[in-house]
Amino acid sequence: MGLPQPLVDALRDVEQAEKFNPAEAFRKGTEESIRKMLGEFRRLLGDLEKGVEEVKGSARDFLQETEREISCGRVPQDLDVAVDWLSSQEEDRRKQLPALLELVQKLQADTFSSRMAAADKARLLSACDRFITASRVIPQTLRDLRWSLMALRAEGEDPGDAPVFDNPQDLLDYLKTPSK
Amino acid sequence: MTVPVRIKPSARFRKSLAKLGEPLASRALKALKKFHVASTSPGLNFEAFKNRPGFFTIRVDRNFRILLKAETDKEGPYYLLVDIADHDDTYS
Repeated sequence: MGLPQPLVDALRDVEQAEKFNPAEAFRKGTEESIRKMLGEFRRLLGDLEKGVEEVKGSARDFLQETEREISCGRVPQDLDVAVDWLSSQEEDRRKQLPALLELVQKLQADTFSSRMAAADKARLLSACDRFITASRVIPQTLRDLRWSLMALRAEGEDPGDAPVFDNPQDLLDYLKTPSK
Repeated sequence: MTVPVRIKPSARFRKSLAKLGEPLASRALKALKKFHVASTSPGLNFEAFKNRPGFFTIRVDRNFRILLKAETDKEGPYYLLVDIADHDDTYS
């Protein structure tokens, strides 16, 4: 089964869009530089939104494939590897997200104070909102896939021989005892 | 009156809990103690796991949740502690 290759590819595709940096255009401050940046931003946004759909689609496919395996009584041996990989991918994106959001929020602020035409301002602000939404969807999709895989994995694996506890203190004592 | 729930920890849950270390492990035990006696306590945010019927989650803190599975044995229903892992709620 291995790592979900289509998902690996889809995540690589969105990385380019996430490297967008509009600061240079605003530093120049000319109508031409801002228009050029706006065009570039909208193109990258289109790539990002397309990439997000690919990430969601390949996550869905991977989940369905795993479901089929589990329903046939086979727990994919490398499910743990996939869960760990998803966790690290999500972690990477979680770390990048604040800087990316800050960048887009700065772009929104610069847009308000710029001498752009009102229609361009409206287009750029709308693109900023869409960029923020799309950027959040990727780690969210990775998180949801990881948790779905964790649940699926539980359906196919032996839970072990721990007792069922009626008493909270007994449960806590049991959990505090290192397992053998 | 709330009926205390019955709980069985899975081998994987124990392993994950041990791996997390402190202070998360203590927070998880605190959440479980609360869940045992008052599963619907608002702070736990006990909810069905939307992607998988029969699974539920409770909140440990802002970033961590416990995954549970509803099971039944001859003495009645209980929750299997499936796993504990990070679940960042800030994206959604």
